[in-house]
Amino acid sequence: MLLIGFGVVLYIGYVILPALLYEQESQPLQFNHAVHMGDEGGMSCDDCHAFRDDGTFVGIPKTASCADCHEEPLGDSAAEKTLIEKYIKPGKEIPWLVYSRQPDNTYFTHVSHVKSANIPCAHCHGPHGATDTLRPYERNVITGYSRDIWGSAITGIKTNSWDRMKMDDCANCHTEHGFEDSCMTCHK
Amino acid sequence: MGITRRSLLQLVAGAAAGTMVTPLPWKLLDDVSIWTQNWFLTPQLIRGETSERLTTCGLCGGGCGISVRMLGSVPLSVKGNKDQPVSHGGTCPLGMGSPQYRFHPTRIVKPIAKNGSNGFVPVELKEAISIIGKQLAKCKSEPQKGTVAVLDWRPGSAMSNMYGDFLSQLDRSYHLVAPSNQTTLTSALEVTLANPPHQVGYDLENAKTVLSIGAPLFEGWNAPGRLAGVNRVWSGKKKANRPYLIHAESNHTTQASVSDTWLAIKPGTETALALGIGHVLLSENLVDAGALAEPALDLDEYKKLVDQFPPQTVAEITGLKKKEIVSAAKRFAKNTPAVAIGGGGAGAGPLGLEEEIAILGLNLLVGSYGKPGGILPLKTLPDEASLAAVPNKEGKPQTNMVHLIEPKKAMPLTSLEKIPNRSIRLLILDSAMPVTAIPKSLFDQKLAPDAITVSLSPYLAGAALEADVVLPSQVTYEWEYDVPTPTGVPMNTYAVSAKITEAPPGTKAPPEFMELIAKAGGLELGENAFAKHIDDRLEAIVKSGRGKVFDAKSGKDKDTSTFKTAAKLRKTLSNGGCWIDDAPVAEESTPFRLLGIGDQGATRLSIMGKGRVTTLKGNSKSHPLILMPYGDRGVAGESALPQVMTKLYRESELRQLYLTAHISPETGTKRRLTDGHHALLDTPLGTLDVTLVHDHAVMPEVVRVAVGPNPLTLGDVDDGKFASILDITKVTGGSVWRLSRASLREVHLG
Repeated sequence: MLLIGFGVVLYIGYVILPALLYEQESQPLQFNHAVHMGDEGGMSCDDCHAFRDDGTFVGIPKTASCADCHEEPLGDSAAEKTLIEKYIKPGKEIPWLVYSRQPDNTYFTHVSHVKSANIPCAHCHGPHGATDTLRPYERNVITGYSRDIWGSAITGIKTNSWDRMKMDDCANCHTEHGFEDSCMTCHK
Repeated sequence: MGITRRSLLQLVAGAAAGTMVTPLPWKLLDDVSIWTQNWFLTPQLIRGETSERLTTCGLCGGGCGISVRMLGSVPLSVKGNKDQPVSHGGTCPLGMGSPQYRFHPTRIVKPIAKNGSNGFVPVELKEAISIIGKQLAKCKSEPQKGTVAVLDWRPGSAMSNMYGDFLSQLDRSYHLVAPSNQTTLTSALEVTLANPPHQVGYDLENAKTVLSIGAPLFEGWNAPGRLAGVNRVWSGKKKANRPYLIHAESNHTTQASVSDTWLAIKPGTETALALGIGHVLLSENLVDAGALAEPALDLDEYKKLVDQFPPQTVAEITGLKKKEIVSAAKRFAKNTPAVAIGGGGAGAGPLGLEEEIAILGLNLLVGSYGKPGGILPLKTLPDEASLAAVPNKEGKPQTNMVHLIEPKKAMPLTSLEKIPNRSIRLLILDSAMPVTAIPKSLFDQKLAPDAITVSLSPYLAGAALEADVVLPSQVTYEWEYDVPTPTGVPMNTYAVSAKITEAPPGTKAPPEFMELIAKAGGLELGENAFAKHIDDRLEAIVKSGRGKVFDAKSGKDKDTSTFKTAAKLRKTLSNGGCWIDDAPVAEESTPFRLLGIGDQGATRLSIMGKGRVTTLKGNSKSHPLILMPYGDRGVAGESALPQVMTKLYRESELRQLYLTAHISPETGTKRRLTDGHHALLDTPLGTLDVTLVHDHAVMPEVVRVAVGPNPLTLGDVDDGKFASILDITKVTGGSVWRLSRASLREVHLG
C-alpha cells in the first residue's frame, strides 16, 4: 500500500497535474517567423521588435507594422488572409497571447539587456525566430500566466536558458555576471 | 485482503512521501501566491499606449514646465521640461509625485462638515452651501460682529481675481495673504523705495555673487523647480564663471553645505550682519558714496547707524570672525553683479521687516537694484487698466474689454496679521496648496467667536482639519487654471496648468464652489467668471504685444505678436507653453531710504541690530535655549504629500520627522539631554513632548524642530489630532515666529 500511495501521488504530480493545470489556446494567427527571417523575408528580430528613440521597447508590433508590407497579400497563406481580412482592413489590433508576460510587479527593461549587456534575443526567448508556426499558448488556470514562465517541465528544471523565466532565473544570471541585486532592481 | 487501518495508514504515508518528490506542493504554492497578487481585490495596472503631455505644474505656484507621461487619460509620471525658460527642467519631489495626489488617502470626494463631537460627517452639497450661505448673510447684516475673509495662497491668479470679485461686493471684507517672505519683502520695498514695484525678481542666472541671508535657495525657496534649473545652469558653467555663494544661517543646512562660504551667525543676528557689511562697504570705499548721494535720501543717517556696527562689534553679536565679515563685504562689492537675498524657510517663516530692510539696503548700496544680475522690478502683468493707459494705433485708449460686472475698486491684499482680532466671521481657505506653514494662533485670534471656516480642499489634511465645512476640490491635472509669475523670477511669466485627466464625481473645480457660495449669499460672479479672467488676461497679453511665448511643442520662442487671438495663445499655454515678458528695463536710479520711511527707522534697525533674540520676551534663565522651527516647502505647510514622499521621510535618516528636537551634542552633554530619549520642550506658550536627536549641524544652545511633515500624511495618526511645534512658538511683530525662547528637560517614560 505504501508503494501504491507513493505511485499514485507520483502519477498525479507528474501527469495529472500538468494536464489539469494548463489549458491550451491557439494564437489568433499562425505567424511564420522563419519565412520573415529567412531568405525570403530577410528580416531580423529588431525589424519588428524594435526600440523607440527613448529606449522603450515596442514589444510585439502593432497591426500597422504588419500593414506596411501586407496591405495587399504577398502570398496565398491562410494566415495572411486572416491578417488582412480580420485585422488590417478593419484596423484592429491582433490579440496576441504573450508567452513571456511577467507579473505587473516586475520591472524589466529590454534596452539594458539587449543594448547594454548584448544578450541575444534567443537567450531568453529561444529559437523563436526559426519557427514556422506559433505553438499554442498554455495558460496556467490558477495564475493566468503562460507555461513558459515556470517552464514546460513540471519540475521546473531547465536545460536551455530560455526554458524558464522565473525570478531566480533572472537572479542567477545576474549573479553569474557579477551584478548585485536589490529588491528595487526589478520591483519598483 | 481487505483494507485495514494499517493499510490505509501505509497508503497515506506512501502518498505523503510521494508528495515530497513531486512538484505538486511547490508548484501549487507558487501558483497560489501568484494568484493572490492578481485576484479581484488587487488593483490592476492599466495597459495601453503611453503619450507625453506637456503642461505646467501649478502645485506651488513655482511654474515648472513639465512633461507628464500619460497612459490614456491617466497621468503616470512627471519629469521637467528642460527647454522651459522658467524652470530649466527643474522640478521638485512634490511635482514629481503629483500624479499620486489623485489617490491620496486623505482625499475627500463629498462635502463634509463638523458635527460637534462626532467630527466630520458627509453632507449633501446643498446643505454645505446652505451653512455657508447663512453665515454669509449674517456677515452682511451684522458686519460689526465680523465679516468675510478669503485666505488666498496664490495672489495674482485668476482664482485670486475671482475672490476679489466676490469680496468687492461686500461692504466690508478682507482679501488676505499669509505672512511670507514675499509679504515682508513687499513691505520693505514699500518703505525703502520711492517707486516700489508690485513685485521683484532675482536675476540669479546672471549674478556673480549671491549673498543669501537665511534664504534656503536650494531647499524650496520661492520657485524650487526654477532653483533646481538655475543650479543646472550654474553647474554647466566653468567653475570660474559660476557665481560665488555666501550663505548666512545659524545651522549647517543643505544650503550652507553647497555654498562657497557659510557664515554661521547666531540666531536672529541677520540685521547685524547686513549692517556690518554695510559698514565695510562705506568705510572702505567699496561703493561710490558720491554716486549714492543723490538717490540715497538718508545716506548720512545710514552711515551714522552703521558706524555703530563695525566688524568687531558685529563679530561679537553674530559670533563670526571679523575677517569673515570683511571678506564677505569685499566679495559682495567687487565680484559683481552681486545680489543679497533675505528670507526664511517654509517652516521658519519670514525674516522680520528690519532684517529685510537692512538686506535690501546692501543691494541698493552696490547698485544691484534694477540691474542684470541683481534685483529686477517687474511691471504688472498686462491687464485692462494697463492697456487703457496705452493708446492703440489710432491714439484711443484700449478699453474694449468687457468685465462681467462693473469693476469695483480692486480689493487690496492684506497680510493676515494686519487685520483686527476677532474680525472674521466667515473665513474661506483657498484650494491651492499652502506650501508654507503658519502658526494656528495667527488664525485663531482673527476669528470671531461664532466664526465658520470653509476649506476648499481636496484633502482632509492640514488647515482643512480646522475647518467647519470642507468642499471637495479637484486636484491638479483635474481642472485648468493659470500660473502667474512665480515669486522671485526675474521676469513676468504667465502659464496654464492644463486639465489632463478626469476628476472623481462629486468633486468640483474651486471656481464652481465659489459660484455656489456667491449665489447662496445673493452675490453675482457672472457666468464663467473664472475662465473669463484667464481669457481677459490672455487678451491683454496679446494686445500688449509684450514679450514672447515659449512653445513647448517646438521648444522655441515665438514673438507675442504672432498670436492674433487669446484662444491661440491659450492653446499654446495649455500645452506646456509659457508667456515671458520683455526683460525689465534697467531703472534710472530711483530714490530710496536705506532706513525705511519714518523717524524710527534707525532706532528699529539699531535695536534689531543687537540681535532679535534680545527682543524676545521670556526669561533667558528659565528658557536658555533658542527654538528654531524649520521646514521644507510643501512639507511644512501640512498639506498632503504624494505617497512616494512617505518613503523619503520614513526611510531617510537625512530628513527630520516632526517633533524630533535636534540639538548639538555639546548642548546635549552640557544639559544632560541624551540622544534618542524623550524630553519636554517648553516655551512661554506651552510644552510639547519631543524626541531628542544629537545633530552636529545644529548650533550650540539651539533647538531645531521640523514643522511637518503632517503625521496624518505619513500615517502616524488617523484622527487628525497632532501637535505642531508652531503651536508653542511666539509670533512677534505679527509675522515672525522663527525664534522663541525654550528649555528642554529630559523625561523618562515609565
